[in-house]
Amino acid sequence: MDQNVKIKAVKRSSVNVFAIAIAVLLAIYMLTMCISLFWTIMTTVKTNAEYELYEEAGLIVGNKLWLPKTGISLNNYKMAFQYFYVEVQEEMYTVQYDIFQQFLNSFLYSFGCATSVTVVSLVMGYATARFRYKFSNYIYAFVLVTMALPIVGSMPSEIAVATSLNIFDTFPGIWIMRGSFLNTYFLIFFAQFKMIPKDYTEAAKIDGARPFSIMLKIIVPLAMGTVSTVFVLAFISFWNDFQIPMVYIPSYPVAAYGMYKFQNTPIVEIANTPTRLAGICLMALPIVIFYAIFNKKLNVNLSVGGVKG
Amino acid sequence: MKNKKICAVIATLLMSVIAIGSFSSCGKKIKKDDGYDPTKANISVATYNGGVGYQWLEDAARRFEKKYENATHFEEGRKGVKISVDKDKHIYTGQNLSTSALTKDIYFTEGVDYYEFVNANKVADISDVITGSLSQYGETGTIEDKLDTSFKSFLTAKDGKYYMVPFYDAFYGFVYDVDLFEEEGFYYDKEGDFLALRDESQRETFQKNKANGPDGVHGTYDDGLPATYDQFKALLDQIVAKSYIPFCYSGSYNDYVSKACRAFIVDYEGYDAFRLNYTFDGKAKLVKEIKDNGTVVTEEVVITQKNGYELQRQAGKYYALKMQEDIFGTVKYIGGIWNAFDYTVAQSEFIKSKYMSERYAMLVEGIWWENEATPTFTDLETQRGEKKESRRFGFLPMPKVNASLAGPQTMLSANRSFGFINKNAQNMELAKEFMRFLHTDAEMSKFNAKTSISRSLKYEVTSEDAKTATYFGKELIKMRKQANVVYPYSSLQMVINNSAAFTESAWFMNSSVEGVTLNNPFDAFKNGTADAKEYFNGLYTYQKLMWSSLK
Amino acid sequence: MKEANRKKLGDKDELIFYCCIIALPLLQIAIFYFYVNFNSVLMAFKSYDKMSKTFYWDFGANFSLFWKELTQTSIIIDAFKNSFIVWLFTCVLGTFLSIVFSYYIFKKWVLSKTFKFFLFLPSVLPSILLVIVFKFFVNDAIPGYILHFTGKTVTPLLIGKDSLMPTILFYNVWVCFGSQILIYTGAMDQIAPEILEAGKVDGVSCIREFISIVVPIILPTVATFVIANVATLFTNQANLYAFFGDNVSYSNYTIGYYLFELVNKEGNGKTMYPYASALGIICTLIAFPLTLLARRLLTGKEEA
Repeated sequence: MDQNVKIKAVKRSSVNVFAIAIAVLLAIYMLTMCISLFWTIMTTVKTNAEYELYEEAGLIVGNKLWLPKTGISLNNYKMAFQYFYVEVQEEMYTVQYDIFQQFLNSFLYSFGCATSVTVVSLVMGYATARFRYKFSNYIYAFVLVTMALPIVGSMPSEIAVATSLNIFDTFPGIWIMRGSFLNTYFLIFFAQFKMIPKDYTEAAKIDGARPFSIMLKIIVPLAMGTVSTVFVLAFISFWNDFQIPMVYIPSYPVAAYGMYKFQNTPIVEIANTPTRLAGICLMALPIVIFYAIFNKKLNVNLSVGGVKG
Repeated sequence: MKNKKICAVIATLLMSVIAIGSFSSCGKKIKKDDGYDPTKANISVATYNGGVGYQWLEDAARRFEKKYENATHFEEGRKGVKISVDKDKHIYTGQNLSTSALTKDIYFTEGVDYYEFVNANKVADISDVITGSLSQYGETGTIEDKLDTSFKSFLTAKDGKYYMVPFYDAFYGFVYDVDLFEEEGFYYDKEGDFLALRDESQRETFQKNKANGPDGVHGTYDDGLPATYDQFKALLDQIVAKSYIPFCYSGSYNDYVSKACRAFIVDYEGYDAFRLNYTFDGKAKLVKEIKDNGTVVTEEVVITQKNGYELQRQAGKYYALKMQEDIFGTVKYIGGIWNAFDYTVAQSEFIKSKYMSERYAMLVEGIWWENEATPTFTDLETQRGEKKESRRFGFLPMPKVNASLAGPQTMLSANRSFGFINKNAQNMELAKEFMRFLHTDAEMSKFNAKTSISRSLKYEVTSEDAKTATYFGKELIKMRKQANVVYPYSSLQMVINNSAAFTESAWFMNSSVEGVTLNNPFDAFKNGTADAKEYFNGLYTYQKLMWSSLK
Repeated sequence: MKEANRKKLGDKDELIFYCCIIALPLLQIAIFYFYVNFNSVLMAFKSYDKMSKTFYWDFGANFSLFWKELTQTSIIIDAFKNSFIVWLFTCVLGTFLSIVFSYYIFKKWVLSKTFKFFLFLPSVLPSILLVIVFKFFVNDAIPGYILHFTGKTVTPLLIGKDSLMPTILFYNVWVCFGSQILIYTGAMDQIAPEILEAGKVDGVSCIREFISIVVPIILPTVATFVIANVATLFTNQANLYAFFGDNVSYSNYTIGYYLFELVNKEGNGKTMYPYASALGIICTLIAFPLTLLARRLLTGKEEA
């Protein structure tokens, strides 16, 4: 009884010092983020006439900083939705991809690439961390070197290789091309698998388990939390990337590319800050929803894959 | 258990993604009618829809189609022609096109690395178009006759063949608000006093009383505008005194200011001396000493490829830096604060400042600005009922160092814009004919009137077309007619292979001041890193150091 | 005897398995890394002839240019310096804050879920949105509000001589938490409850728990991140291009931005590819030992 009270007291006092300090920092951080996002949403519901040309006492002052004064308008979203298309040239015809088609392309691109990069990094991380061959060390060092080495102007040669393998401008092609382990994910898996004690495998080995089933049934399930985290990270970064799909799958415009184009549109009706921001918000919506859903899943997985340190 | 479930879910998802992926080409897409006409001969034309816009191309295409509506020789069994115009601001930049496959037949774009394209074997040899007759359009000469000599040598330097044709002139400088200048009397009269237009009925007297302007001739477009540096600075003080802000500029893209000030160099040096920066062959007048009172002493030096860096001592470069420092080195002439405008914001602020508490007199921009600023004009029309056409703007001719140098302008066209034909054009004969058509005097005149921007070839704008131009466009047409235009292209192996060292941003801006390397005079003056004289001396120091590293 | 045989068989089994699982990824690397990039690396020893569109051998040229820029101009030194500062902020400060924030979230203290959501948000949102919003805030909104409330004019933060770099650094830290938080909280969640429980029974304070129990346990994970981050020392553009395009003064360059400019600046064409490649190799030669050093310091292992 006495001890319990003591613990509680200690806990409370340290919460006061340490936790409050961090909480303050975090609150400031959250505030800056909230204000920016609030401003963004606020701007998207203003008309451009108000944003740029709001008048006070007969003089144009614009209203960039304050709440809408001439009412809320959803017109920017309507315009963004309407103009959020990409045109792709196919032989003699131009094909228009609407926003849903772009989301589908984005999903195919991000899901496929995230899967391939996660699987490849997982497998390589497993192989290099769990098998103490010399070669494993070389692979690890090699990954570190390539991460530090900025490669210049290799895009044309990558396109040429992809074209000669007949995988340029196809989804399976881009999945294969992105399925590389020269990245941080590999290092994360490597560290994760290094942490798992050898006893796990030894015990299984004595039971006569083959290496494949050891990996799949014993070790990988322990790392499921990391797997899903890496997958989500990869998925999100692929979703927001427009340059790679623009170059390697030009016939399948993704939403990030649609947004990039939307940002630089010459169409007068939408070439203004409120509508542009509305366009970005529209594009960000699915990924924010995805994050909100997966965020919960993530926590579950992490507790399932609980491993002692 | 749970893990298995997750694995199963992921596996199912993966399978479905692969399935959808393989069939996604069957997904719902809307086929847009480009206007491909199976009964006619077709080509597609694309343009970078920047400040020049695309409407000029649509118009020209319709005229061409009309002219050849009964032609049967372009494709067997088809009568008439169809030109589809595609405009896409982002895809059709020179840089994008150089890395991707060409899907259209003809392109007009900017930022083109000519030799990169030519060597990539993507563009058609159009020598026959350039050197061939235009008699079918009632002209006696060829397109080649309309090219500046510098273009001829540049375009043919590889193998004597032409692969592209120059597109439009990109001049940077100062746009001034004619309405404000007239109302507030920012013009000079013959006595050197400021002159305003009090009443529209006195316009004739007003015009008559205006000073001669930088060209030294009365009755021309530049009458009443500052003729010398001193007059220019006095004008800026006058603008401030009347509670206006002399300049609106883009703080985020402050290289616009440096580009505009480069016009001082070009105009001071003139065509031949400025071209030395690209030919490295000839005699140059270079600064020997800058005295404390600002007097510049020059000497004559023979320039070759061995001592090309000596050109950094060209007096024009000093004068330009000095002007940039005097005007943009403090916040006196830019509204009391360094702004962070993006260039579209700068345009919009300039235009709408007429109705704001402080009005700008001039804008630092390129001549295509009016087209880019269309959204602001449109909004302003909705709100204030004032049409774009009713605003009057002009493009300020560069004043001279002193009155004795009065004469026509020399202007620098940047942006590297070209037109070319895809090597694999679906109908080469038609594509070439359309190219010829676009480069007739009549078509270039229409282009100029429509866009306000001149083509980089020799031709005259007809008075009929000129009438359809905006006020700004009309002013530019008059200015361009008198001006010498320099193009920054070189056919020298040394320049082509070291293009990074000779881009305008490197050649005119890299400077080494006391071991500190600078690349942005605007920032250097703003931050007090160097003054104009130091920056100028540093140009020489830097290029002399780097000269031996050229390949 | 039998025992040894089985072990041998098992070893062979393992070797076959090992070879099988790494074969495909290695093939991918062989094609899409080695084959594709081989010429790019060789380019460091070449020069480009635009007229004939060929890269020809020119062994010393790029390295001597580097030496010249290093010793006789301020470009390289400034870029190294800025790269290092950016790295210090994003990697050292960013990692430190990430660990502290992760601990807060791990302890499920007040609003921890909300904080986690916001910390990760920058990684979810398109970077262009953040750049636009941030740019507006530091250039327009902050000076605007200050003017409104105090009547004082303030130079936009990305323009002011003394505020430019701090603002850039702030932005880079501001958006860097996302994945680190996710990984670190993940790692902390995997700490066996008994260990923390034991600490609690001994009456360990939060700070002590954090420093003596949590940090040492998640250190391998942190080390992984830091090691991976050393490599970004010379590739980080610090978002300079997103904020300023080509218009950045040499004194604000980072190596990453310089490399990007050499390759992408309009007008450079391919002429600077060889130099950029050489600069890249030199940076790798510096970054690689640093990475190994970091690894050795953080994990105490002596692997190459």
